Amino acid sequence: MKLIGHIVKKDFRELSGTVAIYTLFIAAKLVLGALLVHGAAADPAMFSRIQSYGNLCLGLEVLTGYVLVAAWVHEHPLIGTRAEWMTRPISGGQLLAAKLCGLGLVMAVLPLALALPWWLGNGYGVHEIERAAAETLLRQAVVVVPALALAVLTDGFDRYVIWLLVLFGLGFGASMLPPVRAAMSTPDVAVTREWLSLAVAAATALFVVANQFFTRRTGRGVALLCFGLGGTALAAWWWPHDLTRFARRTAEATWESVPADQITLVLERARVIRRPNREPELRVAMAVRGVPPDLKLHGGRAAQTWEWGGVKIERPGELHIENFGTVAPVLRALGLRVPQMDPAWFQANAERPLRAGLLGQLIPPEGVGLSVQTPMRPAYLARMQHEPADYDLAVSLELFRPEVIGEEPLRTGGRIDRGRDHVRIARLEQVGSALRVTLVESGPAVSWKSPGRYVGTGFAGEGPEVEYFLTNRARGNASRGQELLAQRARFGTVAITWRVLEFRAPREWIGGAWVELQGWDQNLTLAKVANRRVAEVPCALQVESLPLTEDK
Amino acid sequence: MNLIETRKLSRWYGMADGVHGLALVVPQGSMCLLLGGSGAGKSTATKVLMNLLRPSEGEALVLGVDSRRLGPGEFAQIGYLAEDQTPPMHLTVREWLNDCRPFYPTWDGGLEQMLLKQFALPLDRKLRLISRGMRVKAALLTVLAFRPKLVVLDEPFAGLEPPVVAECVRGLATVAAAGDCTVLAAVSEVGEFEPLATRVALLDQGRLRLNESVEDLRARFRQVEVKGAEAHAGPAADWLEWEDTRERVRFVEPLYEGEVTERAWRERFPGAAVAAQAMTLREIHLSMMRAGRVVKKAEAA
Repeated sequence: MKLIGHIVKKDFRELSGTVAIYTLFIAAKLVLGALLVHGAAADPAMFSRIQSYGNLCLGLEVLTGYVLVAAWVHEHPLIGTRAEWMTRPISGGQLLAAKLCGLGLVMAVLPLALALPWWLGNGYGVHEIERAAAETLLRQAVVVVPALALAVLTDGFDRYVIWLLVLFGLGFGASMLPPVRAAMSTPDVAVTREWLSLAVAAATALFVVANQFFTRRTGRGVALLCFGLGGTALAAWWWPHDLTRFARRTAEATWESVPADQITLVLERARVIRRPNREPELRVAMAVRGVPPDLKLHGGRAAQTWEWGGVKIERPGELHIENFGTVAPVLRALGLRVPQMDPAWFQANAERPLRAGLLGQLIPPEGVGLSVQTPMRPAYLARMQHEPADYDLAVSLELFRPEVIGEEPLRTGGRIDRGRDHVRIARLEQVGSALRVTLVESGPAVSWKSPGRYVGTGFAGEGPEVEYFLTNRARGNASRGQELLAQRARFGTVAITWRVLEFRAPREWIGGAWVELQGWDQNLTLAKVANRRVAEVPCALQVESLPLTEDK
Repeated sequence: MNLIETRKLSRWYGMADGVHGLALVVPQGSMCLLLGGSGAGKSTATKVLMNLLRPSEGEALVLGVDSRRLGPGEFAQIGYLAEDQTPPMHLTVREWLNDCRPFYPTWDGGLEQMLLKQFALPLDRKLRLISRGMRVKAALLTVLAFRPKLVVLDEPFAGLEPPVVAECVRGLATVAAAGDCTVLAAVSEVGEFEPLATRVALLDQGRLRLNESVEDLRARFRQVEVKGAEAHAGPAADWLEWEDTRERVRFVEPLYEGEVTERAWRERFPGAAVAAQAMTLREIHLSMMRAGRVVKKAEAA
């Protein structure tokens, strides 16, 4: 143990300069992040500039990391017969332990120690620190593992650099090959293949490193590396089984129980939409009934079939949810009035964007409106109109629970701070009757999200994760912000976003026309709402002889 | 007890032989010179002994352990110094010594100080800034200061000035004399090792031609000068470096056995004056090298 400590100290002494440079790059990146969070950027251009400096620091940090790992190993070269240490009383195991200790301190403990104040300053709790640390270590492993494998097989820095470039060139070239791209994007198994190939590569590196330290048989080390790279390629190309279903089961186990059997789809109508110079589309409108009032729906992919006798057409479709399903639960979460069964009110107050093409549509008398719009060849449509087909639809409905992260009276400099989640109102502008609000957000940006757990920028899974509302509690209305710009930067697992939102005046249906509310922008409160994904419910709709109408 | 013993040891590089069928024995307490010219296989042999290379065939026992299994326990008793070793050039002499010290429980601070003084090493200069001779002396110090049981040297002093070599060998002698130290020195010429050597092994083209004690070797080699030999029967088969001028005949007798051999000379050179002179190890080595052959005692028998 004393000997291992002695070697670690010696390595640190020899490489103190490189370690200092490495520390400098990490620290510089975090300082730039802190500058962004604390308002150093006056506009998106400056935000972008600071972000580029941060990326430059990150790039140099990674580069120095590769240099550092090689230098650390080459302090005691494992190739050749000239190294003086080889006839000193040090065993391969002791040397490996010393190298791992040293590299662990520099490549793992040092980045974590430097990032810890940054994380604490951003309000991270134990859970976020755990996740951020795990992600930081994983990223460090991406540098350390290949660098270590090549460093133990090379006797000098020049050869190391050449082989590193060859390895990356091979990896990049292989990943660009169409069959590999296809294999890596094959549904169901793509994620498994990605993780499995990474695991094989990591295991290969570990075997190579152990072989070199314990036996110094370089020929065998190179053979192991080649064999492992072959295994990695095979895993990426060929692996046939989806192993992520086990992880998905774990995720499902954390979901809330919802009355899934009460959620049903009811057909409203199906119509053909024709636009000049575009393929006609078939829109099937439905109502979803039985959704708990405090949960909002989110669209996903739908599988549809039309069948006449033995002829079958299959088309995927994108689900669109009507305003009611997306806004009413949020209004409830914000404690605002939600009038029942008044479509005009919802459309006026909820500010569903016109460009989404959903306003003016039929709002179902009960339940939540949902539609699937599918481009369709005219010949098929003609046949469907002439001879209605049997229609089958299978969807997986995602249910989200809106949660208010924080509220703050609308004023420049106002802040919403909840734990690790921070929002600063950087600027307010009046543009016509609309209000434009610039926000600087910061929060955890780990990509390893726990199912169903809030991690700052959003919950695990896809969907409308974070939304902003301007509420006027006196009048009981709310306006949802439309995103005009979102510039994102990442500094040490903290995401910083420069976001510009536009809030339009809520409108009311008065005398047969939409009228914007006057004075709506007084005494406003900015609310941040995050949506927690709580369940995924499979639903099906079967219609015998689906009648089509023409859009007017 | 033999500290080094090889059995049919071979190491080849592709099609080329490094060493072949080596059967080398270095008894405890001896100072063995492994002599051989360039490419004879000296470095390959020492590298196999130190587990820097794996034997292709056969085995080598060092301190009673298979060379492939040499570990920290054995290396703590072995001092190895080779010409092609790379010392840590960025360190000062002091830093290098500080680095080496913790590895050896038997490190002798007093001996370190004594050798430092003897070698006149500049403690605070980086190794890259001192002469090669100084670097070799510093390396030798790190090899000797822990009083190793076995010292293996591979052409460490090649190309150095004779006074530097003499100083290094004196240092080696100091340590060897003070304790139970066995030395194997692979060198291309005897040089300054002459007074220390107790055993000689001769390698030629990867094969061991000779492995004998210096005492035996010196006893059986004689430089012979014959004057007034008007008629003679020519050289005997074993004699080396035969030289016949009108005035005198000179040759090297490799199998001198006292009175028996002298009687044989007188019979071969009747009426001539025969003078035989003992030879130094260096002279014996050169004689065999010049003759291009080695005469072993057993062979003659």
